[in-house]
Amino acid sequence: MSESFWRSFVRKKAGVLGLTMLVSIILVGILAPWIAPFDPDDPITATSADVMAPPRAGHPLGQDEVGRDVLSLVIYGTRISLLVGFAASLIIVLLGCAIGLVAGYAGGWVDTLLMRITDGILVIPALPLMLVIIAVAGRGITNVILVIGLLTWTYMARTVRAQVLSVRERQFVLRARAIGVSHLGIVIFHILPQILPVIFASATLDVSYAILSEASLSFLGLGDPTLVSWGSIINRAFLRGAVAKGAWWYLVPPGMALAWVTLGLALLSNAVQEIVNPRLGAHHLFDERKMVLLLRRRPSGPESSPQEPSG
Amino acid sequence: MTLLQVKDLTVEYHTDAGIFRAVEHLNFRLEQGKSLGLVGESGCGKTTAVLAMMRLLPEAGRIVGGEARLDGTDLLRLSPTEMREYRWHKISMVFQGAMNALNPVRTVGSQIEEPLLLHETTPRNRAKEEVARLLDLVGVSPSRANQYPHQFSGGMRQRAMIAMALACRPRVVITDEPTTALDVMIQAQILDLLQELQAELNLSIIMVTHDLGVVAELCDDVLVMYGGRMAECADADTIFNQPAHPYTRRLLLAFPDINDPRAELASIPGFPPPLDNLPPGCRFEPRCDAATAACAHEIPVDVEVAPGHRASCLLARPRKG
Repeated sequence: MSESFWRSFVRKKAGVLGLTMLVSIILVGILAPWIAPFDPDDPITATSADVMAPPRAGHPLGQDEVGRDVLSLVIYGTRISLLVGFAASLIIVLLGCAIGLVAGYAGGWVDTLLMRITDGILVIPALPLMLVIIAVAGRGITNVILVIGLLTWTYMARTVRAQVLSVRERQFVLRARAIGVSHLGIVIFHILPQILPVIFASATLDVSYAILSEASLSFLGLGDPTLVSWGSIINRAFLRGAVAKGAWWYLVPPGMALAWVTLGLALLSNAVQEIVNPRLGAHHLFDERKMVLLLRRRPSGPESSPQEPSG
Repeated sequence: MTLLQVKDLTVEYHTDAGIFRAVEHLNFRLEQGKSLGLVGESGCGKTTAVLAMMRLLPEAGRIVGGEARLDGTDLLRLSPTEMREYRWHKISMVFQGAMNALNPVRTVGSQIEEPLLLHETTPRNRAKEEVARLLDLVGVSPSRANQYPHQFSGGMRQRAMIAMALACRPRVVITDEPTTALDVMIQAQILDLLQELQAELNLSIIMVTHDLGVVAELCDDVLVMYGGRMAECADADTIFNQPAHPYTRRLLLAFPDINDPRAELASIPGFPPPLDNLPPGCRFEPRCDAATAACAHEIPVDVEVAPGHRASCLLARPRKG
């Protein structure tokens, strides 16, 4: 899988773009102390001229209501947003895969029980429930990660289960059973490798879902109050009247950062899904280059108005 | 010497749509070092019968009765753990469709290694050597152990599956349609290979097939099945030259004869009986050209036509002389 998978992937321009966007934002997060012009935790020595000052030399994205550099805030916010995104999706992947694999492989009442629990969680609107839990449990970053992870694994579990149902009927699973491979061995060494690409494609979307959920919670004032994330920047900007003052430089950059990550992950996920499931892509005859070749080869007139590929 | 004896094997499938009897009162024996062909149309219960012996039936499958004694031990009465030990050590299987029976995301070598390690036949540090030996045995270059199934040709995949079946040095190997989906040249090579291995390792082989050519080539004895029951059982020579059951005769007519290439092939009109609507009498009666009135409601018993030749037909009579 790995080698040919990578070769197909580099051919998908959108996918490569998505990966580049993702890697760049991860680098920004890791290198924050070196690339951010200011440290948001430094003691503030601001004058009244610095309060929500518009972009200018030295502060390319302006300053917030206490004179901190917005660019630096956004750069440092990357760390928390990505941390929450990846940590929560790790929970989603582990929990979703475990439950999906067990339900799909075991079948019978185990499957029924697990899937009814999944359905139960699935039908509760996630955001209101998250708000309630955070309000009761407290506003720590750990709580945010746990709440997002524990309420979002259901889609992963359903996807994985559906895949397992089809893979477990394949002949090599019967062969593995005949050889004497244990049930756990069959699930881990024979079934799981088959569905890894699907899990990966689904997990990338979960990361962006988790990042957006964190932003929603923070915007609603239920994020970790001691940490800067994109959501909490928008929350502060909103509360301190950035809208009324027309301080767009305070609101737009964190929003753009969210859009950047979400778009990058969506492009990446789409590319992976297209490779895993080629039928999602266009029909081979509708590949633009091949279509042109086919039309050119027609004896009637090689240059006579090649039709645009349709459909 | 009889190595494997199956008596009265009956298998049902219990599904939401009802209970289907896929194999009924099947009897046969397999001699040490010989090969037995299990022949019949698709859906006649061949594969179900061997999967039952291997205790690998799908969830809905139930062994309702009978026994399958391998060297005196009844495979059908073993506990799942004991059976796990027996499988591959004593009795192994080459599964139908080598492409699907190999895991596409793992190297062929690692898959042949799997039974060696699981059954602790070979110490871990010598497993790679053993894989090389097995691949060499079936005529695949050991250097290809690190390749994936899609890098193998159809014939090589089948060879790899045979290597895997031989990994724990079993005494009985079941091959399920070993040559289907292969071209004629490769079919011949695989059959040659099986024949060589049988002689070299003193294997006993059960060959499930619908190809009478394969049977003629390789099998000492033949069991013809129809609608989940035995139709006829005898040595290959007798089956081809003196068939006693009308179904066997029709089956032979449906198969090209190399000595008379211009003879017309005769298909058998009608379809095999659906398992949920079996005829009350002989299962072949609706399609049989020799059927009498009694055939429609009387279930035939096995008739010993000659020593070692059984036919399940009301019209069969012991041969004289």
